Amino acid sequence: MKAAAFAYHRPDAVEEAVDLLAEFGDDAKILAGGQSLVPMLAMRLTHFDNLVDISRIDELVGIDLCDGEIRIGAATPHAFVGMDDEVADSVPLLTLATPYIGHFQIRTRGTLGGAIAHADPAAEYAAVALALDAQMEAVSPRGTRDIPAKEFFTGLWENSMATDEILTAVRFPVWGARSGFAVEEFARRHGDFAIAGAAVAVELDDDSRVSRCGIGLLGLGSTPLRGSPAEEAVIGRSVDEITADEIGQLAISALAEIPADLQGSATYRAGVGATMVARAWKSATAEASNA
Amino acid sequence: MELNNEFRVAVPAAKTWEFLTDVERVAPCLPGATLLSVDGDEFTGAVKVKVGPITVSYKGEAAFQEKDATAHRMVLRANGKETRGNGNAAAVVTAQLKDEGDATSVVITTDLTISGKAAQFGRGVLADVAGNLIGQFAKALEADLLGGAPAAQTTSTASEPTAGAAAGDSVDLLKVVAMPMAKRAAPALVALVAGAAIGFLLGRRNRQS
Amino acid sequence: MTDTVATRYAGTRVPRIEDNRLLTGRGTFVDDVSRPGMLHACFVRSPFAHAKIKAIDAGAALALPGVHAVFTANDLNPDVKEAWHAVAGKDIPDTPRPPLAEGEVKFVGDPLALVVAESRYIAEDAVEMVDVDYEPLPAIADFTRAAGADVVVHEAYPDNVAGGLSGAPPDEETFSSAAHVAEAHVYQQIYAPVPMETRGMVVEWEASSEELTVWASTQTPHELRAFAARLLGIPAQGVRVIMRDTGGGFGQKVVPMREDMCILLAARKVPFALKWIEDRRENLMSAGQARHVDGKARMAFDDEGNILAADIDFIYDIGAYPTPYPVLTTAAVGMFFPGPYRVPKASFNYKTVFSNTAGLAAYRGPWQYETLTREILLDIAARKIGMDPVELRRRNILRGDEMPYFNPNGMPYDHVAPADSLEQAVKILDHEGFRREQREALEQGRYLGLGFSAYIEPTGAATGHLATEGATIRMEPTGKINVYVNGGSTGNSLETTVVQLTADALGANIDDVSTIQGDTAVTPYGAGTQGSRSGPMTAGAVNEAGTMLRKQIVAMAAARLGVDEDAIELGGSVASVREDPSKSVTFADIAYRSYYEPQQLPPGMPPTLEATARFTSQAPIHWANATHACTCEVDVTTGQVTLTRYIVSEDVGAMINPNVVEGQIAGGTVQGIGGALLENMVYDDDGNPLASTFVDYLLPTATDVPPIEYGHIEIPGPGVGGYKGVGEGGAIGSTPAVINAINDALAPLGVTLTRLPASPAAIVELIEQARKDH
Repeated sequence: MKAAAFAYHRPDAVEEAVDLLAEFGDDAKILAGGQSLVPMLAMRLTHFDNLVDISRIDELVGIDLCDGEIRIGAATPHAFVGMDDEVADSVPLLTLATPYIGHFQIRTRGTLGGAIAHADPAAEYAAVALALDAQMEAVSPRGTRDIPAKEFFTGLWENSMATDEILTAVRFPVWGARSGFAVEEFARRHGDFAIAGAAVAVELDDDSRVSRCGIGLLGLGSTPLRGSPAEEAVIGRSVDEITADEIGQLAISALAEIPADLQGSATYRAGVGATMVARAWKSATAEASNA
Repeated sequence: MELNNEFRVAVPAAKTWEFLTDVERVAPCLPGATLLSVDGDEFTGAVKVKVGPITVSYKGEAAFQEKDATAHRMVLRANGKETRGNGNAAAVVTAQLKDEGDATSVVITTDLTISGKAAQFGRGVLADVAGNLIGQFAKALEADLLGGAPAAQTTSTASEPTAGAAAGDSVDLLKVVAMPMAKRAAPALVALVAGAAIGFLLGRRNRQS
Repeated sequence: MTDTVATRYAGTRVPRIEDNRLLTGRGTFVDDVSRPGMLHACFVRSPFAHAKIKAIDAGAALALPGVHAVFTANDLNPDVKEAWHAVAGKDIPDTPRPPLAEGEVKFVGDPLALVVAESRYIAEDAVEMVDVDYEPLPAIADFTRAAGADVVVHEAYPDNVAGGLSGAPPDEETFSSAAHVAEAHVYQQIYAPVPMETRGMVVEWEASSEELTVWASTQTPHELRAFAARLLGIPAQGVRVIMRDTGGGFGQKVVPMREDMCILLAARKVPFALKWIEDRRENLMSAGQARHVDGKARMAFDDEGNILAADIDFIYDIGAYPTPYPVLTTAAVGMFFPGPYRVPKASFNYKTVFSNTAGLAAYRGPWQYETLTREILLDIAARKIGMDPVELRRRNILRGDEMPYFNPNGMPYDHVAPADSLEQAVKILDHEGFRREQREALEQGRYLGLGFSAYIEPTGAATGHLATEGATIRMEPTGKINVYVNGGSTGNSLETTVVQLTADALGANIDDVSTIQGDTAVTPYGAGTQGSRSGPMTAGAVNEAGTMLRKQIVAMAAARLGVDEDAIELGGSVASVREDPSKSVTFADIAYRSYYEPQQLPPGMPPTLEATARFTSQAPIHWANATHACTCEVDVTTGQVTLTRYIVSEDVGAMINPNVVEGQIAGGTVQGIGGALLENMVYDDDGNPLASTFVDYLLPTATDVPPIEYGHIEIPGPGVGGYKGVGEGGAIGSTPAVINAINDALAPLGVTLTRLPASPAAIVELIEQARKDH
């Protein structure tokens, strides 16, 4: 398991990284924490003539609360996100999701931007970004643009950015006071890829009716997904009107391509997914009701 | 592994058959590949399949085993070896057109065997992308058939990326890239590409624990 | 042991002497070895489960700078002189084992060419460039359909059956007339040892002196030396095998395999030392695999639940290239199936079957299937009869006063009391308390379960080259002690235990004793670590050599102190007069006189302070026994199994070091838990191995296992010190205990799982199936 030779570049600024990508095109790949890329290189499942290491670019690391959003630099390690008090206060779904990401060693090197750009269907932060309608900031020679989460994940390990675009930050909206959040994930062992999981955010109005709901699903397709039928069903209703099990079933009802693999059939996965949504819904609504 | 795909174009069967066997017209609809040589009903080509950061390049040959213009049925054997690595993709593809008056339904049955690293992983998070791939192909094909002009709907050349399209000569699933192609290679290369892509992404229906 | 020395270290929890270097990353494993100019090996491996090799074109690979050679079967295989192994002997009808694949590849990962280059990086680059023209052939990956299939793995075995055996036929009359008969069809998946250090070796051929030096990851350095000499047709005197630290073996490193043969054969064709160390994917795909068995077991009971007869009929997957000799080693499954119970009649029948998968190698308690099947069956029987599984075992398990007991297959059990280990486990668990807790939980819709399993195990079997063990003990000129034994320490603490025993044998302070192991130029012959032999055998060897050296020390001390020999006591590295301890002489002084002032010794007294002995085990087998008890909770919506308690109540005789005993049991137990719940080497229908990385091959981690609770019983074995072997038991008793706990938890739902592993998806499917059936 020795990677084939490559040229290693370590730019100090985003502009430099953008130039390098533009220069090398398909022959270059961004390296951040390397927790997904390096094993693939070592196993020779992939090869790039150039690796562009962005992990030391200062402007890409940071967590800021501004204008009702938490903006996280793409090269910010998972561990920083998980430990951050502002994140815990403003976007608790990120804090709750963090312990499920691999093991703590992985979280110390892996980055939020890397995980989101890698777009694994079982990536916790990707599901959170989708559930909360986050905005991804991408930079290229043509300038900066925002990509909404629902347009970002286009297929297995595929995102909608062009080859010469770099994800520089992700902005997560801060939800209102009467919100509740929960993440439930089922994996074979502590730290494994989720077989199925759910990241649920729910916000209640003054009458304890659901005013906003985001259900991010992990491991139930080739990308992270939204449990839209369930979200639509709960808007405007009181939390007591629908059972958690119903929400779970609704969330997975529109999923067309639930994976079957070594860990189980599609039916099994769907069942586990529904259970995870139900459990997360229970916790999130309990929290919102008591808020 | 057996894969079944179907699509429908709002074009009569005879015209669809003619189009499908005319590579110059089919090629632009086809998520990219390169033809290297043609010799009667046998040809060689190269395909680069990309799934996110993972790339697998195959070089191989294909040959028509059957090309029945009356029955509108073709059978193709395709075989590709990884250029960098130890693996192999082999496919027997059967395409059957069904005349539905103003429309044609095309049924493709692929018997696919993948070996090498791509076949040695159990984590299949994968939905069946064959549908997507063929769907993109069909849409482009249909537009092309209806529009009449080859390559009319292709969006980009290699040097100008747009949001959602990829530069370069690799197959990016769910994206369509134009490539100039020689005649008669299209069905084989569809098979090889679809087969390699599908196989690589593994609609692993048969691989449950 | 004589009366002059008190046991001070044996039986105590002495901290391990290996730990300082291992825990600070300063061990010497194969990949730490570096030789001048050393070259690196990497194998070209087949991506097909079965294919003809039409041509191998290494042109592009050879043209790559840094590549020294690309060897194929034509280059290496003809150089083989003899390739038999002591474990099986010269005369068995061994199964095929060509170093490199010849003409055909027979499993995914089958090595067919060997690249040698300046670095492993370049070697891997070159491997990608070797162009092999394959003609794929149909493959048979499913061994349950391999016997008599159209696809033939080896031409010499057209029905894919390597052989089989049966004992007496089953007593059908008893089975048809018995009050109760229980049956189970038990399928066990492939899982494998997965040592932390993968297989590897560095081989250096010195042509001028015709000496071969091998640094190996091995359990059997002396046998590797003998094998290497035979393989290459060179005198064994010129071969030296060195193992310093080996990171786990578990049976996978008992015999050198095909890749090892290739490196040995290639070593004389390259100008410098040649290193091979496999990566994890290679280890998972092509190092030996184990435990793939499918079979049916039956037991007949009278109306009180006493066992009348037991029968097992199974097929065993041996893959494409098993280690020698699978037909015979599999017999143990049949022979031990009756287990630690009173079984009047037993029968067995089996076949070993080839398939296009890697190949069977030994794995910690290789006959484990007999305990797995029997213990699952006992629980099934208990539920059928309407008895608690503990009570059914109590009725049938052998007591100490029944020893010696010949099991129905002629196995002579002795020096065990399985009933005692069962009762101790029951007590530690608080059986009544658990059943109460289980009932209450069920009322709340929670499923708790309890599983027991008991086994009896032949450790330290003394046959052939396993029957003796050598030790040399030397007092150095400084008075410090060095003890030399053959080696094989692969994580089983042999350095520590041998030092403890030697310190006791001589009355030395433990800090004054060191050990040298694993270097064949320096240590006496031994069969290495296998079959849980090292404890009892090194104890015997150290005792014999120690007794001789002690006599020498006592004689010198007596002369020095002017007393009779039987007035001398040894302790704390000092020889003193028992009645007057102020009269004493240190070991250091004794040694100094002997080495530097030998003229001061009494005339005629030899200055020798060293002894070599070869111990022969008087007992053919040292029987060990344990009962495992496991409690769990099953989440019936996800199928997740959480183990809540794990108890091992074992009898390995006297314990040299309880820490070591518990460590050995824990390691084996965790491997067995992995086999019950997590580990699964899956092959698809085309023969592709799907669990080729740790993403898919799931090992149990610290978060999957509860703290293990130990109960020790010490029924002395027949060997020196009463020590019995402890290496394998944990891995034997654990898998069935876990499965039984799951089945106990799910009994209210009508679920019995007999197809392993008990993955969450499998459990959920069984629950749903049972729901439909009602």
